Amino acid sequence: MAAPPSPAELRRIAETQGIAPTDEDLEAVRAFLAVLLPAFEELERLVPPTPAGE
Amino acid sequence: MSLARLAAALLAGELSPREAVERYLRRIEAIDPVVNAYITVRAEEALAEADALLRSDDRGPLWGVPIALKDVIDVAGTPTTAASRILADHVPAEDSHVVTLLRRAGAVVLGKLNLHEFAYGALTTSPHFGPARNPWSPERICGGSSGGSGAAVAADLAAGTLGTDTAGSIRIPSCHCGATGLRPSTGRVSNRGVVPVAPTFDTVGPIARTAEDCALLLGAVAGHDAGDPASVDAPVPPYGELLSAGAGGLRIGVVTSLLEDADPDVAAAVETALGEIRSLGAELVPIAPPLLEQAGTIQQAMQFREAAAGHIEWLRTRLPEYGADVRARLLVGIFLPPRVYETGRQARAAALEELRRVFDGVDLLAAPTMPVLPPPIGSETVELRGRETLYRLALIPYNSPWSLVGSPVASVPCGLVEGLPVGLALVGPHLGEATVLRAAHAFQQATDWHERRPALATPDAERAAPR
Repeated sequence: MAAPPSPAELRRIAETQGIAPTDEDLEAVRAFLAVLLPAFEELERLVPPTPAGE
Repeated sequence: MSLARLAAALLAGELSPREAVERYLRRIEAIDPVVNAYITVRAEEALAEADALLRSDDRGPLWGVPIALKDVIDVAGTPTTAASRILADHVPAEDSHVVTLLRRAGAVVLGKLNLHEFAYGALTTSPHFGPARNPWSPERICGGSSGGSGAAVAADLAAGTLGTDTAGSIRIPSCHCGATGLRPSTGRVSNRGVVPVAPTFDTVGPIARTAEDCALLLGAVAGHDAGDPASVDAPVPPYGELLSAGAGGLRIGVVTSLLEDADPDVAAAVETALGEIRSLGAELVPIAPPLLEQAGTIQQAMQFREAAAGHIEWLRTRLPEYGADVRARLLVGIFLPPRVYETGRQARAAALEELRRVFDGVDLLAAPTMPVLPPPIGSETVELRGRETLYRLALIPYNSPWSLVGSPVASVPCGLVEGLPVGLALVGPHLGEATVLRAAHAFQQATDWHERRPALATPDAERAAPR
């Protein structure tokens, strides 16, 4: 999860939600994700996911 | 004049509500073209409300006091823009719950204040309404998101204000503008009729001159609201009566890591303030609360998703109408995997337990409100201990831990560095606003930092106004 998805992948995800960001929007999002995703990955290591059904 | 002194003068008949409103309208006309604190000035409505007060015998604690509100707080018949283009023409039909309570206390609503678009950022540089400028140095930011509230207090453009705080939005502008602000405990003040950011963390609170002013405002708006599912059903203490207990006997944990990581001059000002509090009889102990490094990540794991969820329809239909930074921040929320939110929720539950346990050993925590001085408008970075750092990242460790656990936090002016204000953060246990305000008031009884005013706010500026 740590590396930000490519602009094409982000666009695909956005389209599934009915959202049409520009290329500039996606680059700005990738800059945020580049900082956030490694931090969230670290957090997931501290808080193990709850098993399904719990 | 502080809000408390003005309220006393009004109740004593030394001036009328109309005279109080007219005084602020003159100052707004003279000074706000520079500061840009206001989005909407309710001149005619405020004068009519002031006159209407004379037709009733009711005299609440804020009788005739002109209050201004961050422009996410609904006032019936007045636009709530959230400093956005999307809501530029939105006129609510009903007052928010806090406005209902302010009116019950006798306050007059003077106007609506500038903010970071949709309260989702700390700069208050809305591309739609222009930046709010710091009265201490107009080329610098006020902080945010309640930047207009901080600026209005610093420039004396309202007797008091309400802001909102999700991750620092009351504390940051209070600090940068030399005002006293209080983020109340989550749930202490109703959010009904307030544009949300992330409901788990959102709270309405006062920004004013003094802790005594904040106590008056909080006393007026605090309390359970059955119409807000996040509202806490707990007794509201008589904040004003509890102020005078002093700092003697308080045990205050000083968060040393936040002092060590702050700009050295900022840290020195805060350490001097802490020495003053010790001289008032408080015991200071060094403390290292758990999860300080992770708190920002935990809050963001929840906040990004909650904020995006609240905007999803506009993201689909009006995306280009957001400012670029808020648009990117909201879009981030739709790209995060759902498990990130769940991880954040679980981590927050653990953090609540761990961080709240800190208060078993101390009455309050203390730290710098912000590690840096406000940067120039247009700059997104600050220099911190020799390193160029993103401003929005520098503020997180100083604000998110307390938002995460829903603690009350006051920011109290405690010094000037390069002519710019520095703030001392006093953090209390959940629902411990009375102790926070008591310590802040004791400090302000012994110091005069809260009375310092920027040159722009001097009486000369008011006299320059056309009559």
